[in-house]
Amino acid sequence: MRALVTGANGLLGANIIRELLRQGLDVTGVVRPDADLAGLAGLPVALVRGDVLDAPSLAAAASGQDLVFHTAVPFSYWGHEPAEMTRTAVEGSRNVLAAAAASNVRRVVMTSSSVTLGASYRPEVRDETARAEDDAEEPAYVLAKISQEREALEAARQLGVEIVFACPTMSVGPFGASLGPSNGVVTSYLADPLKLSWAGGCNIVSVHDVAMGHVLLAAYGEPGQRYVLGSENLRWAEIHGLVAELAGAPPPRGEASAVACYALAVAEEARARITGAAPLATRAQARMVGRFYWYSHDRAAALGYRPRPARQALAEATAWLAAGRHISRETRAGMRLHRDVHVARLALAASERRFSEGWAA
Amino acid sequence: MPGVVAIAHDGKTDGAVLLDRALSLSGFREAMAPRIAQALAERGACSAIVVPALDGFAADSPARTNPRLVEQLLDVLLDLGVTDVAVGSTRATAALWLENRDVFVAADLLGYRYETPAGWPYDVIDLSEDAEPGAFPSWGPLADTDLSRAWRDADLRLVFSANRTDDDDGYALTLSTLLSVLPRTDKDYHYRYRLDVGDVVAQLLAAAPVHFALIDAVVSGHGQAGGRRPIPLATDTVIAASDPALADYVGALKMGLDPFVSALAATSLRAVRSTPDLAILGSVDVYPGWVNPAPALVASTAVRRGFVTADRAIRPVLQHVDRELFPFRHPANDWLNRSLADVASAGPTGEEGAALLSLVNLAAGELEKVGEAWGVVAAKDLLRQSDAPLNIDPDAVTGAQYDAIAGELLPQTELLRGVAADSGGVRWRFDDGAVLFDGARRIPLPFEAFTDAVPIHRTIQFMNDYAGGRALATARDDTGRVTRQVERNLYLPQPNYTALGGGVTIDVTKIETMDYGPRRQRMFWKTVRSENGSAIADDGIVTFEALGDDTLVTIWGRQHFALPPLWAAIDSQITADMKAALVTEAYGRFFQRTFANLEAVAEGRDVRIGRPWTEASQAEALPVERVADAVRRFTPEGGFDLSAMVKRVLGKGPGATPEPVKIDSDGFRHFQSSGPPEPGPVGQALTVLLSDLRHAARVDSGGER
Repeated sequence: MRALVTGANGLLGANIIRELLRQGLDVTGVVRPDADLAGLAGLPVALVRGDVLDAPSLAAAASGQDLVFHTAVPFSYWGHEPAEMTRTAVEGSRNVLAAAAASNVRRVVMTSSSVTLGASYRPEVRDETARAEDDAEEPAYVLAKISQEREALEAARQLGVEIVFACPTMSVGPFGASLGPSNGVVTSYLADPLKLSWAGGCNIVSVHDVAMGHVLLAAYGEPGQRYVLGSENLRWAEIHGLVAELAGAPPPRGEASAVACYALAVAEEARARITGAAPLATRAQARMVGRFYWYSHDRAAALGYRPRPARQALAEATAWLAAGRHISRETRAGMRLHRDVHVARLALAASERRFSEGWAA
Repeated sequence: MPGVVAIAHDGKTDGAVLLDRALSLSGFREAMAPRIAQALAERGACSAIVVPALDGFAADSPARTNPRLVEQLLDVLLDLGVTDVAVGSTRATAALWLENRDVFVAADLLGYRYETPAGWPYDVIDLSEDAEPGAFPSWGPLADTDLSRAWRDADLRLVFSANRTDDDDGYALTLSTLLSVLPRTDKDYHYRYRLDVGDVVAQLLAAAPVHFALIDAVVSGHGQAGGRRPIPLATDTVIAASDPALADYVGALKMGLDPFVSALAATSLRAVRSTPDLAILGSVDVYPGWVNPAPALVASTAVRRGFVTADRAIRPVLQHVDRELFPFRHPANDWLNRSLADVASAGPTGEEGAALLSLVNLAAGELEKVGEAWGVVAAKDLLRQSDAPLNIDPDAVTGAQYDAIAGELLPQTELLRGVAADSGGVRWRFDDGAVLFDGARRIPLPFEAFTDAVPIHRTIQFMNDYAGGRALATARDDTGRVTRQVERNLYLPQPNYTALGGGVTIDVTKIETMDYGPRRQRMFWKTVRSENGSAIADDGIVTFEALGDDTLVTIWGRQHFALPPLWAAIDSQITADMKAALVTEAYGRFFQRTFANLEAVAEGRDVRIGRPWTEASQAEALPVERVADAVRRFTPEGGFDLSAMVKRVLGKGPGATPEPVKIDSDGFRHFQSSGPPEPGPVGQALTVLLSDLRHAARVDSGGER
């Protein structure tokens, strides 16, 4: 069986490719011409240079494929123009579906997001029956994903393409070409000299599990349905406490108020504009303080989805991040990694070695 | 051969005659003849390269060697039997900010004619074009530097400098000109900021000795501004010497200077000051009317050089340039230069400008010290990494010295027996003013995996606050593992806060041995030198040991660092308890961060602090270029239109004249239909900001549901 993955060098794309390779599929990845391919190094995967906004490049890549995994929308709260992000999400998805229809692809698994289910200021758990509203004050990423789901469903109906939506929660783990807000949960806490947490919470999941969930949906998902791919619902203080424990950093000193978070985000954005570096937090993220992005993955669980606990997901993410450029040397020098993180790193290295030794074989 | 320096002076004749006299007086022809004969006998050919000063920024500048004299020297060489003569040089730092500083173009503009007075053709060659590795020993400042094959292979290497003052070194003569043999364009960056330029020149001389050196002092450049604004002065002299250091020694005396005022020349001068049977022929009287840069200017310029960014920004601004010949590459430098070059060299001999510039230099230097101290304490990765070439000869270290280290150090580890460890597992005690300490951590990685990733002979480079240095293996075992090495280490001032009050970089040179067992590896080190006197002792042992499925890392050390006066005074006044608390904190921190670094190295990370120096292949942007880039980030059009920026930020004021949204091909101006005035971006941003803050306040008060 053959599968095409768009956004192949992104956090989800790189992990979906690994999962497909483990299951013995022939995999083709679509990457932009200037993509950073470090996260795909050594993998037996065919790469096609293209762009989801460039329909002909997709048509060629989709030819002969059985499945398409469409992940290519940047998850970002900084550095992307809202209009461009929406265009990539909506027009890019239409192009992918059109290419899939032209090539008689059996099914498209489209990566949406749990944020399309909305969030609450109360600690309540949402499922796939919930929907976020097109509130103009929502971050551009959230609005883009809402539009993408709506437009893609309609386009798939018109084109006669089977589509299933994967709605990952906060996915942490290795191999993304850029840091992204999800792994940023780990790095920004470690880089924060004040070691503050804040109100609200989110659902943390391993990107490995999200990748496996995508492949599961390709086999068993019901066309037109949305599936949350998450793990544990935790308060931010709990998440930061886990990060601190795993990295050997001080635990959270307390919760910053929403006003303080917003003020810090303003200051961070100003610093980022001057230095050219990414901010530790943005105003778009600060507006989300106090909300509970808590979700149930029961619908996916009914298909066999079994995610690992959030602590293990964070240990794996910390293992990968601690060894890379997203944690500064100075921050790393202040860390004392938990044994579980070392174990996760060794397991990750062993898993990568198996690709070079021929996993499928 | 005995050293000789000949000074030909005559106010009533011209340069050609003076050169001929200097050559005759110095025995140049007699000294060169055997070399030429030998080359002709061996290969049937003899090559000579003359390196002149091309530092002139105007056609008739006294900062450049007179091309006519260089060409006359080529004729002399050809008459002696040399078969191939060439004028050689490389591009210098000014080529980064001026056009036409390419060797061939600059030579052309400064008057080289590619034909000698006798009608013989000669080449001008760029000595960077055939630069190749292998010329320099692996342990010195130029260890990784290439050198021109033509220069190395030349049968005769000659330097013919101009005669001028210099605000970097007091004077710029043959040794300064010799620097233009080195290949990198940004010579200030690579040979002055990064390295001790005196050591650079000395090693260059050692690797490819110069056979004769001459100074064109017929018309010299004197004055306080040195090469920035060389003021012509007829000094009617040519100096010829058997060694460039001797030429510079006498040249500086003729200027009335202590020759050792030049950091560039001092190391080489010390090597020749005791030349046997040295003959100085001619008068060493000071040139009449000669004006040198004020000592304060030279000293303050050295201080400014420590602030690399400021120095790189200032130099293009200060240089007097013939813009017709050498236009500025960047309009900002051109504009600043027009405004400030005259100010910085004002006064008949530059004395007014020198006073002002000295203050600016000192201010820049002080700013750098503050920035450096802040970097050490709070922002280590903003510091520039340090290059520290080995400063002992590895061949001079005997096997007995290596063999004695373990036997000397191991018994001292017993001195910590009975000392209670703190909560972090660190023990320490004082011993003769030094601190004996040890600490251990069990790292949850298998011994083989850990030792594969962390070569024990590099452990010191992974320790907390390691700022740079160099190691050279002197022995290896059968499997290629290093068993002996010499190493020079730089560490940030210890404790870091001493940087706020005169604390200096710890600079220690060590000899080291390593032993490797199946379940244990050890490294021993002993300090044999501290170039800046910052350390009295810094010896130690590190052990990697298998412990079940983990690796136990143990570090023992004996350290005694010299405190700067301020901190020594404070140290003498504090109580024993307070001192103990400070030592405990310092070593606790050292171990926490060193062990974290070792873990990080095992993960494959680079743990070295600071910004690396940019290599020649990807030259560091000049400050003016960086400022221009920053302006572009804020101005989408890429220009610096202040009024457009103000309009964009503030929006239209009430009653402002509407601007057309389009002007069509017939010249009609199209306007948007009038409506309520829209706030500018600042107004819009403020509206969003207030709305967000109101929302955040509602969240905090529990009002958001």
